[in-house]
Amino acid sequence: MDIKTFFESKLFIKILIAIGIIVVFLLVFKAGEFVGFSKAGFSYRFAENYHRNFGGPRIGPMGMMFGDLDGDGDFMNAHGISGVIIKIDPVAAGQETTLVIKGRNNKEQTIIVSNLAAIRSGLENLKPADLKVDQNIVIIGSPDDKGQIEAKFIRVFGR
Amino acid sequence: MAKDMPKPYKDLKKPKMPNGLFERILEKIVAEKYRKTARQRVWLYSLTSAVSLFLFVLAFKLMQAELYRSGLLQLLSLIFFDLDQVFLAWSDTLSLTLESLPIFSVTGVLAAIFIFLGSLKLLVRDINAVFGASA
Repeated sequence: MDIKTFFESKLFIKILIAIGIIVVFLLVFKAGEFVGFSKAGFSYRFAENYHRNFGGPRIGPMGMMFGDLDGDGDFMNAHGISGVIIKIDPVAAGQETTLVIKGRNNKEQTIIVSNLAAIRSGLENLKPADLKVDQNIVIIGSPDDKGQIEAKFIRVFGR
Repeated sequence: MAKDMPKPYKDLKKPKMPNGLFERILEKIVAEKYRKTARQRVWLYSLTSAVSLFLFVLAFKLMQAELYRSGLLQLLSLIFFDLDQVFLAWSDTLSLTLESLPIFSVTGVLAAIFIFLGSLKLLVRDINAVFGASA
Protein backbone atom coordinates (compact mmCIF):
# COMPACT_ATOMS: atom_id res chain seq x y z
CA MET A 1 0.00 0.00 0.00
CA ASP A 2 1.56 3.32 -0.96
CA ILE A 3 1.35 6.46 1.11
CA LYS A 4 -1.40 8.10 -0.91
CA THR A 5 -3.63 5.06 -0.74
CA PHE A 6 -3.05 4.81 3.01
CA PHE A 7 -4.07 8.43 3.57
CA GLU A 8 -7.26 7.84 1.63
CA SER A 9 -8.07 4.55 3.35
CA LYS A 10 -10.68 3.96 6.05
CA LEU A 11 -7.96 2.75 8.40
CA PHE A 12 -6.37 6.19 8.38
CA ILE A 13 -9.70 7.85 9.16
CA LYS A 14 -10.27 5.42 12.02
CA ILE A 15 -6.82 6.19 13.41
CA LEU A 16 -7.57 9.92 13.25
CA ILE A 17 -10.91 9.46 15.00
CA ALA A 18 -9.32 7.32 17.71
CA ILE A 19 -6.63 9.96 18.33
CA GLY A 20 -9.30 12.68 18.45
CA ILE A 21 -11.34 10.75 21.01
CA ILE A 22 -8.26 10.20 23.17
CA VAL A 23 -7.40 13.92 23.01
CA VAL A 24 -10.94 14.94 23.99
CA PHE A 25 -10.94 12.40 26.80
CA LEU A 26 -7.62 13.69 28.16
CA LEU A 27 -8.79 17.32 28.01
CA VAL A 28 -12.00 16.48 29.85
CA PHE A 29 -10.02 14.47 32.41
CA LYS A 30 -7.67 17.39 32.96
CA ALA A 31 -10.59 19.78 33.39
CA GLY A 32 -12.09 17.46 36.00
CA GLU A 33 -8.74 17.21 37.75
CA PHE A 34 -8.45 21.01 37.85
CA VAL A 35 -11.95 21.55 39.22
CA GLY A 36 -11.56 18.76 41.78
CA PHE A 37 -8.23 20.12 42.99
CA SER A 38 -9.69 23.63 43.25
CA LYS A 39 -12.64 22.46 45.33
CA ALA A 40 -10.56 20.15 47.51
CA GLY A 41 -7.94 22.81 48.15
CA PHE A 42 -10.56 25.41 49.06
CA SER A 43 -12.38 22.97 51.34
CA TYR A 44 -9.09 22.19 53.07
CA ARG A 45 -8.31 25.88 53.61
CA PHE A 46 -11.87 26.41 54.85
CA ALA A 47 -11.46 23.61 57.39
CA GLU A 48 -8.07 24.88 58.50
CA ASN A 49 -9.44 28.39 59.10
CA TYR A 50 -12.89 27.39 60.37
CA HIS A 51 -12.21 28.59 63.90
CA ARG A 52 -10.97 31.94 62.63
CA ASN A 53 -13.91 32.46 60.28
CA PHE A 54 -16.72 31.29 62.52
CA GLY A 55 -15.29 31.35 66.03
CA GLY A 56 -15.29 28.50 68.57
CA PRO A 57 -12.46 26.18 69.60
CA ARG A 58 -9.92 25.10 67.09
CA ILE A 59 -10.60 21.65 65.80
CA GLY A 60 -7.67 19.60 64.56
CA PRO A 61 -7.57 17.78 61.25
CA MET A 62 -8.84 14.54 62.79
CA GLY A 63 -11.97 16.27 64.04
CA MET A 64 -12.64 18.12 60.82
CA MET A 65 -12.53 15.54 58.09
CA PHE A 66 -13.91 16.59 54.74
CA GLY A 67 -16.88 14.35 55.31
CA ASP A 68 -17.86 16.45 58.34
CA LEU A 69 -18.00 19.70 56.41
CA ASP A 70 -21.25 18.66 54.80
CA GLY A 71 -23.44 15.64 54.97
CA ASP A 72 -23.07 14.49 51.38
CA GLY A 73 -19.28 14.45 51.23
CA ASP A 74 -19.02 17.01 48.41
CA PHE A 75 -16.33 19.65 48.51
CA MET A 76 -17.22 23.32 48.63
CA ASN A 77 -17.36 25.55 45.59
CA ALA A 78 -14.33 27.81 45.57
CA HIS A 79 -15.48 30.50 43.14
CA GLY A 80 -18.85 31.56 44.46
CA ILE A 81 -22.05 30.58 46.15
CA SER A 82 -25.79 30.90 45.79
CA GLY A 83 -27.74 31.34 49.01
CA VAL A 84 -29.07 33.57 51.74
CA ILE A 85 -27.20 36.18 53.78
CA ILE A 86 -27.31 35.12 57.41
CA LYS A 87 -24.81 37.56 58.88
CA ILE A 88 -23.25 40.87 57.92
CA ASP A 89 -20.25 42.16 59.81
CA PRO A 90 -20.63 45.86 60.43
CA VAL A 91 -18.94 47.98 57.83
CA ALA A 92 -16.04 49.83 59.40
CA ALA A 93 -14.64 52.82 57.56
CA GLY A 94 -12.05 51.77 55.01
CA GLN A 95 -12.58 48.08 55.71
CA GLU A 96 -14.21 45.36 53.72
CA THR A 97 -17.66 44.01 54.50
CA THR A 98 -17.81 40.39 55.52
CA LEU A 99 -20.87 38.32 54.74
CA VAL A 100 -21.76 34.87 55.95
CA ILE A 101 -23.87 33.09 53.34
CA LYS A 102 -25.87 29.94 53.88
CA GLY A 103 -25.94 28.00 50.64
CA ARG A 104 -28.85 25.99 49.29
CA ASN A 105 -27.18 22.82 50.54
CA ASN A 106 -26.85 24.34 54.05
CA LYS A 107 -23.14 25.07 53.64
CA GLU A 108 -21.91 28.31 55.18
CA GLN A 109 -19.28 30.40 53.53
CA THR A 110 -17.58 33.65 54.38
CA ILE A 111 -17.53 36.25 51.64
CA ILE A 112 -15.32 39.31 51.64
CA VAL A 113 -16.94 42.23 49.81
CA SER A 114 -14.62 45.05 48.87
CA ASN A 115 -15.82 48.43 47.64
CA LEU A 116 -14.71 47.38 44.17
CA ALA A 117 -17.17 44.48 44.00
CA ALA A 118 -20.13 45.09 41.72
CA ILE A 119 -23.47 44.59 43.49
CA ARG A 120 -26.73 44.65 41.59
CA SER A 121 -30.37 44.28 42.49
CA GLY A 122 -32.64 44.46 39.48
CA LEU A 123 -31.22 47.31 37.41
CA GLU A 124 -29.88 49.16 40.45
CA ASN A 125 -26.27 49.25 41.52
CA LEU A 126 -25.88 48.82 45.26
CA LYS A 127 -23.16 49.37 47.83
CA PRO A 128 -22.04 46.81 50.42
CA ALA A 129 -23.89 48.78 53.09
CA ASP A 130 -27.16 48.19 51.19
CA LEU A 131 -26.99 44.43 51.70
CA LYS A 132 -29.39 43.03 54.28
CA VAL A 133 -29.77 39.75 56.15
CA ASP A 134 -32.11 37.19 54.51
CA GLN A 135 -31.47 38.51 51.02
CA ASN A 136 -31.15 35.84 48.34
CA ILE A 137 -27.93 36.36 46.40
CA VAL A 138 -25.50 34.80 43.94
CA ILE A 139 -21.82 35.61 44.31
CA ILE A 140 -18.97 35.14 41.86
CA GLY A 141 -15.47 35.56 43.24
CA SER A 142 -12.03 34.14 43.84
CA PRO A 143 -10.84 32.05 46.77
CA ASP A 144 -8.21 33.41 49.12
CA ASP A 145 -5.77 31.47 51.26
CA LYS A 146 -7.98 31.69 54.35
CA GLY A 147 -10.86 29.62 53.00
CA GLN A 148 -12.90 32.71 52.16
CA ILE A 149 -14.17 34.05 48.86
CA GLU A 150 -13.42 37.57 47.69
CA ALA A 151 -16.52 38.67 45.84
CA LYS A 152 -16.20 40.23 42.40
CA PHE A 153 -19.87 40.35 41.57
CA ILE A 154 -23.03 39.98 43.64
CA ARG A 155 -26.51 39.68 42.20
CA VAL A 156 -29.36 40.21 44.67
CA PHE A 157 -32.62 38.42 43.82
CA GLY A 158 -35.97 39.69 45.04
CA ARG A 159 -36.29 42.56 47.50
CA MET B 1 -29.83 -48.72 -8.04
CA ALA B 2 -32.73 -48.16 -10.37
CA LYS B 3 -32.91 -51.88 -11.06
CA ASP B 4 -33.43 -52.58 -7.28
CA MET B 5 -36.53 -50.40 -7.09
CA PRO B 6 -39.98 -52.04 -7.26
CA LYS B 7 -41.38 -52.20 -10.69
CA PRO B 8 -44.15 -49.55 -10.40
CA TYR B 9 -41.60 -46.96 -9.41
CA LYS B 10 -39.10 -47.71 -12.10
CA ASP B 11 -40.92 -45.69 -14.68
CA LEU B 12 -41.90 -42.90 -12.28
CA LYS B 13 -40.76 -39.57 -13.63
CA LYS B 14 -39.02 -37.38 -11.12
CA PRO B 15 -40.65 -33.97 -10.83
CA LYS B 16 -38.61 -31.16 -12.24
CA MET B 17 -37.17 -29.06 -9.44
CA PRO B 18 -37.69 -25.32 -9.93
CA ASN B 19 -34.51 -23.28 -10.04
CA GLY B 20 -33.37 -21.97 -6.67
CA LEU B 21 -35.78 -24.07 -4.58
CA PHE B 22 -33.03 -25.46 -2.39
CA GLU B 23 -31.66 -22.00 -1.65
CA ARG B 24 -35.14 -20.66 -0.87
CA ILE B 25 -35.76 -23.53 1.56
CA LEU B 26 -32.50 -22.79 3.36
CA GLU B 27 -33.34 -19.09 3.51
CA LYS B 28 -36.73 -19.86 4.97
CA ILE B 29 -35.17 -22.07 7.67
CA VAL B 30 -32.67 -19.33 8.59
CA ALA B 31 -35.44 -16.71 8.65
CA GLU B 32 -37.60 -18.81 10.94
CA LYS B 33 -34.67 -19.38 13.31
CA TYR B 34 -34.07 -15.64 13.36
CA ARG B 35 -37.74 -14.94 14.06
CA LYS B 36 -37.69 -17.38 16.96
CA THR B 37 -34.73 -15.65 18.62
CA ALA B 38 -36.23 -12.27 17.72
CA ARG B 39 -39.36 -13.11 19.76
CA GLN B 40 -37.15 -13.72 22.78
CA ARG B 41 -35.25 -10.49 22.18
CA VAL B 42 -38.51 -8.52 21.92
CA TRP B 43 -39.28 -9.46 25.52
CA LEU B 44 -35.76 -8.60 26.65
CA TYR B 45 -35.66 -5.19 24.92
CA SER B 46 -39.18 -4.38 26.12
CA LEU B 47 -37.98 -5.01 29.67
CA THR B 48 -34.82 -2.92 29.29
CA SER B 49 -36.81 -0.08 27.68
CA ALA B 50 -39.29 -0.06 30.57
CA VAL B 51 -36.55 -0.23 33.22
CA SER B 52 -34.48 2.50 31.55
CA LEU B 53 -37.56 4.72 31.27
CA PHE B 54 -38.23 4.26 34.97
CA LEU B 55 -34.58 4.99 35.79
CA PHE B 56 -34.73 8.09 33.57
CA VAL B 57 -37.63 9.47 35.61
CA LEU B 58 -35.74 8.82 38.87
CA ALA B 59 -32.50 10.28 37.54
CA PHE B 60 -34.29 13.34 36.16
CA LYS B 61 -35.90 14.08 39.54
CA LEU B 62 -32.53 13.66 41.21
CA MET B 63 -30.94 16.00 38.65
CA GLN B 64 -33.66 18.61 39.28
CA ALA B 65 -33.01 18.46 43.02
CA GLU B 66 -29.25 18.65 42.51
CA LEU B 67 -29.57 21.62 40.12
CA TYR B 68 -31.66 23.46 42.69
CA ARG B 69 -29.27 22.57 45.50
CA SER B 70 -26.18 23.68 43.59
CA GLY B 71 -27.63 27.07 42.61
CA LEU B 72 -26.55 26.48 39.03
CA LEU B 73 -29.81 27.73 37.53
CA GLN B 74 -29.49 31.05 39.36
CA LEU B 75 -25.89 31.27 38.18
CA LEU B 76 -26.92 30.63 34.58
CA SER B 77 -29.60 33.34 34.87
CA LEU B 78 -26.74 35.83 35.29
CA ILE B 79 -25.88 35.23 31.63
CA PHE B 80 -29.16 36.94 30.75
CA PHE B 81 -29.17 39.65 33.42
CA ASP B 82 -25.50 40.48 33.87
CA LEU B 83 -23.62 39.37 30.78
CA ASP B 84 -21.09 42.19 31.18
CA GLN B 85 -20.14 41.09 34.68
CA VAL B 86 -20.00 37.47 33.59
CA PHE B 87 -17.49 38.44 30.89
CA LEU B 88 -15.44 40.52 33.32
CA ALA B 89 -15.15 37.62 35.76
CA TRP B 90 -15.29 34.94 33.07
CA SER B 91 -12.65 32.72 34.66
CA ASP B 92 -14.35 32.64 38.06
CA THR B 93 -17.78 32.23 36.41
CA LEU B 94 -16.57 29.30 34.36
CA SER B 95 -14.93 27.71 37.40
CA LEU B 96 -18.06 28.19 39.48
CA THR B 97 -20.23 26.71 36.71
CA LEU B 98 -18.01 23.63 36.48
CA GLU B 99 -17.89 23.25 40.26
CA SER B 100 -21.68 23.51 40.52
CA LEU B 101 -22.46 20.95 37.81
CA PRO B 102 -24.24 17.90 39.26
CA ILE B 103 -22.07 15.49 37.27
CA PHE B 104 -23.42 12.20 38.55
CA SER B 105 -27.09 12.98 38.11
CA VAL B 106 -26.55 14.42 34.61
CA THR B 107 -24.55 11.33 33.69
CA GLY B 108 -27.36 9.14 35.06
CA VAL B 109 -29.97 10.95 32.97
CA LEU B 110 -27.88 10.71 29.79
CA ALA B 111 -27.08 7.05 30.43
CA ALA B 112 -30.78 6.26 30.94
CA ILE B 113 -31.66 8.07 27.68
CA PHE B 114 -28.89 6.20 25.87
CA ILE B 115 -30.06 2.79 27.11
CA PHE B 116 -33.70 3.61 26.38
CA LEU B 117 -33.06 4.77 22.81
CA GLY B 118 -30.74 1.81 22.11
CA SER B 119 -33.29 -0.67 23.47
CA LEU B 120 -36.06 1.01 21.49
CA LYS B 121 -34.08 0.78 18.26
CA LEU B 122 -33.34 -2.92 18.74
CA LEU B 123 -36.94 -3.54 19.82
CA VAL B 124 -38.34 -1.95 16.65
CA ARG B 125 -35.94 -3.98 14.52
CA ASP B 126 -36.97 -7.24 16.15
CA ILE B 127 -40.69 -6.38 16.10
CA ASN B 128 -40.37 -5.93 12.36
CA ALA B 129 -38.72 -9.33 12.14
CA VAL B 130 -41.40 -11.04 14.26
CA PHE B 131 -44.52 -9.38 12.88
CA GLY B 132 -43.23 -8.42 9.45
CA ALA B 133 -44.29 -10.28 6.25
CA SER B 134 -42.95 -13.80 6.36
CA ALA B 135 -40.76 -14.94 3.48
